[in-house]
Amino acid sequence: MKIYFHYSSDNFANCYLVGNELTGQAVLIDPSVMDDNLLEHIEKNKFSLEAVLITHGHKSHSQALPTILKIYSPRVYAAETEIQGVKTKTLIGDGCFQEAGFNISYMAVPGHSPDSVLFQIEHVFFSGDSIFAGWLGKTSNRSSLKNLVMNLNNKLINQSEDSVLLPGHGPPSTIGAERRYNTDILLQ
Amino acid sequence: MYRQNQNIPEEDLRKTLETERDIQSLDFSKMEFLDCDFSGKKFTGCLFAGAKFIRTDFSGARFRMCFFDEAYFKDTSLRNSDIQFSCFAGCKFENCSFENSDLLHNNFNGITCDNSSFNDSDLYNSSFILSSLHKTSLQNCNLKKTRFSKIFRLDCSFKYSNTREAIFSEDDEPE
Repeated sequence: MKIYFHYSSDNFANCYLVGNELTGQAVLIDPSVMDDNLLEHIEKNKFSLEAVLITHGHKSHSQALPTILKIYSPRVYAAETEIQGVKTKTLIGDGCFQEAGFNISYMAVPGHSPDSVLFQIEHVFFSGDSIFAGWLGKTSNRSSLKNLVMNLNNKLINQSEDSVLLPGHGPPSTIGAERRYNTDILLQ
Repeated sequence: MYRQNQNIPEEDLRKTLETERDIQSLDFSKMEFLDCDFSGKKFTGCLFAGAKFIRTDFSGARFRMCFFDEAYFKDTSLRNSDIQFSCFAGCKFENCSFENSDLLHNNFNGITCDNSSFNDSDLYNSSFILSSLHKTSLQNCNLKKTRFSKIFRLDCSFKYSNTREAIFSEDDEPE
């Protein structure tokens, strides 16, 4: 598995291209911007872009979707039925599917937004705006925060220490690091 | 990206480190390195969790998406390095230098740093949440979007750095 981190300086968001070297296929997670750099990563590696995974429907994590669909024909997975005017393969609750030769698990973690999901590919978790390195995503009220923390504790924080966490903003982390240094989780 | 439960003997990993310049997707966790020269090497997607680096030279090295959780660095140089989107959470640095480096999008949460320097470095969008900095210098650094929430610091200097663009705890005043 090869992972390319792509940063959008317009909205400070992280996008990830996850390539399968065995199949030559790839999935794209949270496309906030489609630029030469990202296009080059896909083309230079001769990846066939099979799917786009959206952790939640906020614009900063999905606004490049219409542009991507003009170039490629990936399937789009999200917990909303429609993102940026694009019909999705809608994810409900927790489950798994196969794309690009990967087994991809998804877990609903409402809190930052009602449609927030985590994606897991091998030992790597893509968390969108639910959890960042050292803090949690914004929630609109105390009940949403409580719900988010409960879901993260049950579905993410209990994973193995060296599992990798790749958030929608900011630097990467590991599950072990979040157990020890995530101030928002420690405070709950 | 490194795989969990990689089954490569330590001897082979050391040989790779000695002979290769581009090192990708390998697990060096809990290994100990003493008086090693890794200057100018390129590391991508490697794991160094719990590793020990004593008098190790990483000057001019390049790291992308590498994970050093709870590693220990003593008398080690990371000068003129290019380290991006990597994780140093819980690391201990004693008498180390990151001077004049590109250190963008890195996770330094929970680090303990003693008698070390980040001077003249670009720390854009990096994070030092819950870190403990003692006799550590961050002078003339780019601190835009750098997080210093809930840090403990003693005898530290942020002189000539753009602290107003950094994110400190409400009760902390770095200037």
